[in-house]
Amino acid sequence: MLKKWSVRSRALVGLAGLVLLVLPYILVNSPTFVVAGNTIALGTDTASYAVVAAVGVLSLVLLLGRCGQLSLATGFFVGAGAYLSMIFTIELHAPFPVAVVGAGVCCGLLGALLGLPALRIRGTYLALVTITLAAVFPALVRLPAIKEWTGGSNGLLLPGVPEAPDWLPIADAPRLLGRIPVIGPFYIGDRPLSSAQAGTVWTYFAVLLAAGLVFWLVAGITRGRIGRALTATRDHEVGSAASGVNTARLIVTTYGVSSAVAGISGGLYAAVFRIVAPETFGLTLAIYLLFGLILGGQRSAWGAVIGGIAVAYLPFLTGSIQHVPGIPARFLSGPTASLLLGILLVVLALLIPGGVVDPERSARRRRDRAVRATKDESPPHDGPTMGEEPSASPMTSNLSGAERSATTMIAERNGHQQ
Amino acid sequence: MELLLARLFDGVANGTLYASVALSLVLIYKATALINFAQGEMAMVGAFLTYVLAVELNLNILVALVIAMVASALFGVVVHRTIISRFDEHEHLPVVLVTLGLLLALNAFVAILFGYDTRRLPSLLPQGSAVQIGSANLRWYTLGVLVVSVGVLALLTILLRRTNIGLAFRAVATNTESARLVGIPVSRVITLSWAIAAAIGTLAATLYVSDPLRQLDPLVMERVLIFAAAAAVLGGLDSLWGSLAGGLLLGLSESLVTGYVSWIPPELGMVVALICLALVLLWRPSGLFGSVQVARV
Amino acid sequence: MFRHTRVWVVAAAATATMVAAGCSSSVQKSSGGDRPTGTMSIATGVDVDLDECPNTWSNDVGVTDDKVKIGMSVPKSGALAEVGDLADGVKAYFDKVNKEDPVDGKEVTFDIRDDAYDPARTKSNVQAMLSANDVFAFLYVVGTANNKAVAPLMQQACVPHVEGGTGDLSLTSHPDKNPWLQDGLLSYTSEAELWCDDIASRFDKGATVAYLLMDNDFGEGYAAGIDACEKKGTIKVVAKQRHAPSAPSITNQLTTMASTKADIAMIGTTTSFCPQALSAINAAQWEPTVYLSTTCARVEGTFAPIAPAGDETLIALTRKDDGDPQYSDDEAVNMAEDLRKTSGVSGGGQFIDGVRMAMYLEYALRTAAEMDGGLTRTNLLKVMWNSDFANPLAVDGVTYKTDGVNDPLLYDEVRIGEYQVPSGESKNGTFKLEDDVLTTVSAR
Repeated sequence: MLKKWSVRSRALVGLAGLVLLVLPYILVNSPTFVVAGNTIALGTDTASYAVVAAVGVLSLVLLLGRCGQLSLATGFFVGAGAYLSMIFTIELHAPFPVAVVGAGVCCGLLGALLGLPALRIRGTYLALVTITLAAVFPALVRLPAIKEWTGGSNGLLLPGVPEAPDWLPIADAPRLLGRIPVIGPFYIGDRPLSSAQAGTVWTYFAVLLAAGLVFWLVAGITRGRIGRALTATRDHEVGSAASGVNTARLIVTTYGVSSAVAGISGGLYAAVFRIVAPETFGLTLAIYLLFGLILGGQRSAWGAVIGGIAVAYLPFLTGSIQHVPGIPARFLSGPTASLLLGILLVVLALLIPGGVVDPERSARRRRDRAVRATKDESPPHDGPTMGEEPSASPMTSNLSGAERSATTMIAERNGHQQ
Repeated sequence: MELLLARLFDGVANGTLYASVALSLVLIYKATALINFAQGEMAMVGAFLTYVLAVELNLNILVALVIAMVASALFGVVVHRTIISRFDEHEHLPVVLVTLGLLLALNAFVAILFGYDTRRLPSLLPQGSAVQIGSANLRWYTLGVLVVSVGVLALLTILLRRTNIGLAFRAVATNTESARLVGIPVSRVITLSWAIAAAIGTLAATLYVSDPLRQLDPLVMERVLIFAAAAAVLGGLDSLWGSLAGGLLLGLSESLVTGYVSWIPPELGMVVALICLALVLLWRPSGLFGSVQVARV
Repeated sequence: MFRHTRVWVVAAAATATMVAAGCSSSVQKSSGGDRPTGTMSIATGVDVDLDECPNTWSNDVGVTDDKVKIGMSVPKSGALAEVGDLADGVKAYFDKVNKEDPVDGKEVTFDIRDDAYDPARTKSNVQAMLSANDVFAFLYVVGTANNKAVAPLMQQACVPHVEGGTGDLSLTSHPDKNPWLQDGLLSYTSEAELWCDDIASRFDKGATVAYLLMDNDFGEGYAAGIDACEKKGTIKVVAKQRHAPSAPSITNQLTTMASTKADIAMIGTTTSFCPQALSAINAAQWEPTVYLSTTCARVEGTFAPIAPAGDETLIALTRKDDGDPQYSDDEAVNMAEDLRKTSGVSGGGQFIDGVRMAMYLEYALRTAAEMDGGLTRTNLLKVMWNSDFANPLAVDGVTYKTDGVNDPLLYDEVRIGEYQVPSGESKNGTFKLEDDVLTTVSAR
């Protein structure tokens, strides 16, 4: 991947990497903005949450953006991952990385199981079913059968405070970083961090590393043949099946991988916040992740990063803003965050179908090449042939295959996305 | 025996609510294969409008209801025309986004305006018990809602079977492209379905909250959304009478399961809805009365 | 993709906003203010070791020459959003105080955050406010699970939490272990125990009870008290029902309860579920003695909408209600009513509870300001654990008193009231108060 980038891209990525490394040392000192009488104090935890949310949005990018499945169950798997990693840590005394990976694996298996019946439905029907799953999560966690493990309504709390390991010079880094011109003395200072502060910085780095690994793995998986197969399946399932892609297996696997990624995101959430409660992982989280997905552009992993930042900082900002000149204070807390999110969703859907990062323009040619390439490959082997099984998705546009592909292809040529 | 009857009556009471909200969902799905996630919230706004007209402006409750239904229908038209119709009919994601966004925005808007306190509406239907066997109590109100739901369904069926508009709707529901080809103004038909669905939603919500045992608050429909969705899926997403069957079945299941299955206590009624959904999905995705679609390749 | 203009535009816009907004950093801040050290004696049996407080701590953080900042985290959205009305009450009352007779000449301001009753969000909110290091003290952070999550944070940060919104005695009744957290409401377990005592005086042993509780920490509080009552033999529980905080309907639960024909119904829930429960009991032709949660002691919100149901409901009362005609001439109640009407908050919510809490906070701040050293955190602690305040909004006879470990609870006195439906046109009935002021058992 790096080889294909130009020198300029590599320099930019390098710069971004440096910023990410220095950022926690700035944030740990709670830089405060004052905007129109509102004090907005930044902290490391929100930044860590942004990283965690980026992984969550990545899961949606994989399932929705790349594979075209309108599944909104990501919130459910984030919650499941968070709870599972907490339970593995508390009950089984597993070291945290093991717990997170374990949670991811469990969620992956669960997700693949979900994928099987989900094969039979598409579109808004699928959205409806998966959103129900996401919305019921808080109730499921309270089932008396598992209440003693999940803590019921009280949730689970990780005791203690995270501490940075001794073999990493995390607490001492400000002595070096404080010498960076301009920002060093003012934002970083040169005193070593306290143990609690070092702990939050360590959490940030650990989460960043884990997220980087996940992104790298997912990028690796979706490269090449599999990536093209995903794109083909998304754009024209029938066509790609006819061209030799085992769409059923691909879709179920994507469900699995996407849920595993979501599960890991949940585990990382538990690492950052050290508390899980039922209501955190309900309908609102699912909608926020969807919002992050759309804002970042559905197709690209970098978009997931932007989406993650939005998911973390939007509630943070709306929570911090207590005075807006001209608006009575009553109207500014509570429902206002939801109102804003709702309006943003509508506006986004109308105005920016591709999201802020839009690789469509550059990638469209690649995709067309890919679709042509898969069609040239070996003859179709067995998979569910769409023609025989009564596809029970009650789609109204009951066009025959020929009509549909004609319409779709015309639409594609006109730069239209599915 | 008495307890069983009581649970059956409760199931019917809850089920009629699920059925009436599910009806609006199904109406739009039938025409467009789209789910309006904001249906419940639009209905809630309609109920609040009825409240304002009936309680703060002191109009007759029935008059208030009719005005609110008309206003909701207009709102449905506006939503469809300005937002939904901009998207290609095969593109589902933007519509999901928009309806979810509307769900959040409408809910928050009403909460900001009215606060979360509960309000009462004058009762639309007669009070008291129709059937009383010990503590099992079938209220006139429940029967009334059932009668109204069946009545609305009957009216819709007549509309679909006997009128030109109904014929146009059925054509659009069967095959949108062909309908367009024969000159039916598809977009206008769909707008009409949004209008009717919105009006029915307001009727359902207002009937529900004017029940003397219940109150109106901004969260009232959000709580019902999952159940209404499960009811619609259970009955078949494109079957109008299916929504009634699905709603009643779900209400009864919920009340019987939470009453008699010990590991699903009543506070987890949503889990019953989820189980129903899972069963439908595994066994018969088109629901009880929905039409099985065959895709030819 | 970084070549994309859109990304640059967004990044540039973000940077420009940040620069324009003005930014400061806490790096330079060390404890510039007053920082006493060592162990300080606060009250009987209550000491606080100030050396354990963080480096950035000082005794007057959040206090400037003209402002005092108090932090709150309450549910203002979600299933329990009605509870958030109390924050409006607090603010409205202090707007009045700031205008008419400011505490120590300073304006009391509030940083109110929404946590939708989610303990994870409560934790983030409190952590954010602690990081900003500009909050003098916290007031009434709501929820037991929520407080369990944030009490260690506040204790570590050495920030007082006045009237903490939890009734969990393990958290609030040990000022020797954690002097920074004070109780802010009647413990639900204690409330159930008071019901138990009342039942013992009215019924024979083994009276049957059917209960409905909200399925969260709030309901669990009642459960603990009810279980203890059953163990004593005073009652026999024949129906144990719970409901989700976001349940659309509780008819299933009430049907089960009604079928038992129990002597007593205990309703441990809140907001709109109370009127629903009372109406359903009325409709089911079941006539138990009903004990209702004190959080529903609102004539406007709970009883007026369902009149004539709810007659003879028993409630443990701690404050005067603005919908109750017996207080129509009460000065404090009328003041609270006026505040509510000016704020535009609808009646029936917990606005007046906010005013009541604010009145105690005002007492605490004023008393602390008059002590040696003025308005400091340690002085506030001293007031919290040595209180003696007759809150004008509290029910007559109920006082807000604390005395270190000897009497750690502020909210431990109630009077049982029996609701009486109105005769005639009005929908607002009244609470007929029993004469005795009951005190709950504090240590646990």
